[in-house]
Amino acid sequence: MHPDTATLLAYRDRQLSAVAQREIQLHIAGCARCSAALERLSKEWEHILAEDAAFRRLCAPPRDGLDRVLSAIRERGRAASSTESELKQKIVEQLEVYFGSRIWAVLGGGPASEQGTDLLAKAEPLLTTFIGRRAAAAVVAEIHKGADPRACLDAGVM
Amino acid sequence: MGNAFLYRAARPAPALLIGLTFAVLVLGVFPAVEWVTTGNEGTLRLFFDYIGALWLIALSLAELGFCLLARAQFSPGEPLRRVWSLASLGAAAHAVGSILSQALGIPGGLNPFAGNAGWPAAAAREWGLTIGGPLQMIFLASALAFALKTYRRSGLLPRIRPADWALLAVVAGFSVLQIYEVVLYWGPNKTGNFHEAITVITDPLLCLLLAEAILIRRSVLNMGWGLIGLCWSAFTAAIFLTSVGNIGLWLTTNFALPRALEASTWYVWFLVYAAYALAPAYQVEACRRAVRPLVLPLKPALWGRLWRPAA
Repeated sequence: MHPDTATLLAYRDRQLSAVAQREIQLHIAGCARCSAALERLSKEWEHILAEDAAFRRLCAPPRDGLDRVLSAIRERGRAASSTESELKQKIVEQLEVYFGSRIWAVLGGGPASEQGTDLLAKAEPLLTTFIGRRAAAAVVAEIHKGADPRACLDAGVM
Repeated sequence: MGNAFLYRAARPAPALLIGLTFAVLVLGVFPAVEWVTTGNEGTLRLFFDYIGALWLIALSLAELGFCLLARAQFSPGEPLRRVWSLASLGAAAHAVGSILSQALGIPGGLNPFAGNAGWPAAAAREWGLTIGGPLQMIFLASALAFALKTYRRSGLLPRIRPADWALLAVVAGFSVLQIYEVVLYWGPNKTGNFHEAITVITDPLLCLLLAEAILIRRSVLNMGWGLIGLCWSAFTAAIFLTSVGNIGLWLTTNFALPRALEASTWYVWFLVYAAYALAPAYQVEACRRAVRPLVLPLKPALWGRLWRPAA
């Protein structure tokens, strides 16, 4: 009787008892079919091991992984901060063109103490009232123009 | 073509208005100097009857055009839409009044009916002064009242300072004096025509406009000089200059002023008209800066037809 695949694999890995190991060895020596099956199983097993090793190499964290992650976080932070200051600058410029350089003193707060989103929330209704909805929408679009959407998201602008 | 042309035409408008008014004033200095030094008023009369009258009419038409353009930048329901509608009515009254009083109401000059003996030039002038005076002021005072309301709602109307209160008190005192004089003039047995009746409200109206102008001036001074501030400051300047012009007229009527001083009071009206035209021009410039091309009060196709030379 020919041994099944599981028995052949156990034989290959020397998992059987000494008596069973000897019996299978004698059978394979005289059976071309089981000898070929054992050879095929050995090749497939080696292939699986090679794939597994490659996958592990791919997924393994690099030695400088943490540094790279921290660096990316810092870069995103810098980009968000830069967008925030650019946004403030644009809002200040636009509002001063239409209302004058001391508008922030009248409104209270201002670019030094407020976030870009808060400034825009103050500026937009004023612009809408005094230059009309259409023109105000164009000014707000101009303020947002060129801003990186990801950085804007980080800055809470969009 | 219509949109693009108007966009380009509106762009340098404030500078053009100031520059051309300055040029007309410089041109007007020479006949005035001649009149002061020699007493010859021929050139002076020519200047005021033709160049001066033409420029005042042109400025009032420019004011009307810019007011309509400014109105078109706001959708129905927006607070400044109503302000610019009233300002447009005021500008229309100003333009009609200017044409009647500066051209059709004078016996010569630009009046095409000057040779017609039956032409009622005096009546045209009276109507011109009524339409371009009290009627225009009523519309403007209403427009400024709504503008002040918008300023207050937006938090831009500051607390009135003692200096402003003092100025307002002077204006109120002057107003009371004017009303007293009107009551004395308009005694129980006095009968007058429609124009006399309506012109008695001119001074109280001017006082109301001055009070509104003081409040707007304070707001603009607090904010600095943006395009919107320039717009309302121009209205304020026009109102203050109208008062100066009226004081000049009163002085000329009641006192024998030196010729140089008398002549200088006539030229104030060029500044008044220029300031009235500048106000909407700055509003249009503010909207133009944000949106190009401008929203036009009429369909673009019609503008195209108006501006395109006939094929």
